[in-house]
Amino acid sequence: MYNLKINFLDFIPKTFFNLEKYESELKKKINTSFLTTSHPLLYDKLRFLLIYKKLIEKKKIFIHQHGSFYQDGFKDFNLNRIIESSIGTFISWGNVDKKQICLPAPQIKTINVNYKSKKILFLSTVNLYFGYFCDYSSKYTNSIKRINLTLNLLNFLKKNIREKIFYKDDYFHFSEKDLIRKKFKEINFINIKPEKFLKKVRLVILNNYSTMFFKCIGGNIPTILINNNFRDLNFKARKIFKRLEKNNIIFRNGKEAANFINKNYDNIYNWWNKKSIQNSVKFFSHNYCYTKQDWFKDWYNFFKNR
Amino acid sequence: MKYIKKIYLDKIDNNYDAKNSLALGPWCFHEIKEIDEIYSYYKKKHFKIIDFKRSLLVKSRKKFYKKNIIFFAQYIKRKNKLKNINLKIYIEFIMPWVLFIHDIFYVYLRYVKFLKKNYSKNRILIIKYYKPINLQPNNLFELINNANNLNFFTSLFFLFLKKNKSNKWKFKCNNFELKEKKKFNILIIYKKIKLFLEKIFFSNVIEVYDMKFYQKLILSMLLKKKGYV
Repeated sequence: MYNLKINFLDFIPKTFFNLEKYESELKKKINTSFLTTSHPLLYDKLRFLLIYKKLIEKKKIFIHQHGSFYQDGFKDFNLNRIIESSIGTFISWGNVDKKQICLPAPQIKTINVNYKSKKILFLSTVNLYFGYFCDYSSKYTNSIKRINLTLNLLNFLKKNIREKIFYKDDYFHFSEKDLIRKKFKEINFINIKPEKFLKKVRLVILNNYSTMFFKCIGGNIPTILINNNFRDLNFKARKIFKRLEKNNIIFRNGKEAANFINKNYDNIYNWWNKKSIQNSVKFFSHNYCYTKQDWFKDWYNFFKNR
Repeated sequence: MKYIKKIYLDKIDNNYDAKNSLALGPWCFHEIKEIDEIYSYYKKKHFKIIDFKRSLLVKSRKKFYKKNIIFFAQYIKRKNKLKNINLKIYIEFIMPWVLFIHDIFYVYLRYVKFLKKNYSKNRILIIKYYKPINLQPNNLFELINNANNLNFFTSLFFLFLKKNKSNKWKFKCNNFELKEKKKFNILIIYKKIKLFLEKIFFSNVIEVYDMKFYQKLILSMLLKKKGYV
């Protein structure tokens, strides 16, 4: 690679040289198949056992989608997706790809929105100085763009609306929290799991396209996403996103989003429950984050009837 | 390209001077400067951001995988004396590692390439502030976790630069210990206990987020009953 002197063998994990210790477990006969999300597949012991069971004992492995950037991203870009599809039968969250199995996602729950609440939940994400991950968010310049977009939105929001914001950052390499606190003293900051806060708010604003966006849209929670970079989405997803953009769910500009929120803050219920908005939300959910109240019934029937 | 005398890999020191030095990236100013100030340095080109195109990364990944997967799988097979385990199992097993190691190196080696291309004729002192860490991971999970860790990245970088150095470069390591937050808390203990219990009761439903205990148990029994597929 680049004519540099590198010995890749120096970076092989130590566990790869000690697979013999799993031999006794390989021999244990298990008359079953497996169901998992992608995360455990990164554990060497488990991955080795599952691959053995699949290839030697012909057991079936079902892999459940664990977040965003699956059917909406480019196929050959998402490493998790490549690993999952090669190891097992993939169970998707959405119906966009008709060739794939889709079951309603247990993670996504319809929430009774508290429209009486005055609170707004603002969800930010990790900022990185560097990163190897393949999505755009791993780049420093994108972190900075996202922070600037956020500052732009907050700057144009009315002060009495900013006071209602509960800001949740996600610290990794660095956080924008201090900068925001310095510029907008009236904003509140929280440090709890966002899912626990969803029932307490009338509106969610996100500055990043992520699994939380799926959870909010799938849960039919009034949501606004500010983002000006969708280049990691595939062409089909971009079309669907355009529809959300038309309905003022997605904004590429902080000022426009702020003006929209200033105008509609008192009538979030009316805006969100408009037929055109609800249709686009349902369309998005059906394609990418399908949910159902009695989702377990579908899961049970799926495994029962196969 | 400006003439520089020093390159800071992970953190600037008191002798940093923007005219004669290059900070490798924005992280060199972490907790020293505010984020808006760091960004102003980016605009003034006090450090370099290496970008990459998705399509080229995917192309390179495919090429790397095709070229090396059999070699790596045979190497791992030779190191493990397991009976009845054919090469196909090793290929599938090491596949995530091959893909991840490619992506990590693809991005990080661009920095090495950049420095070699632009500064190999300069007399430069390359400074690493923190003590380098051991780069061989214990397992794949550790490698993936480490890949976004500053000291892993700069230790890797320090090693690559030394291996691919120009005659005019000198290296200095200050060996300061990097204080990292210990991730030992009640939540981790809870998760470990939960995983242990899950392994006993439904060993074949390994992890599905937000699925309740009884739901996992029912699906687990169903999967066992069907045996299949």
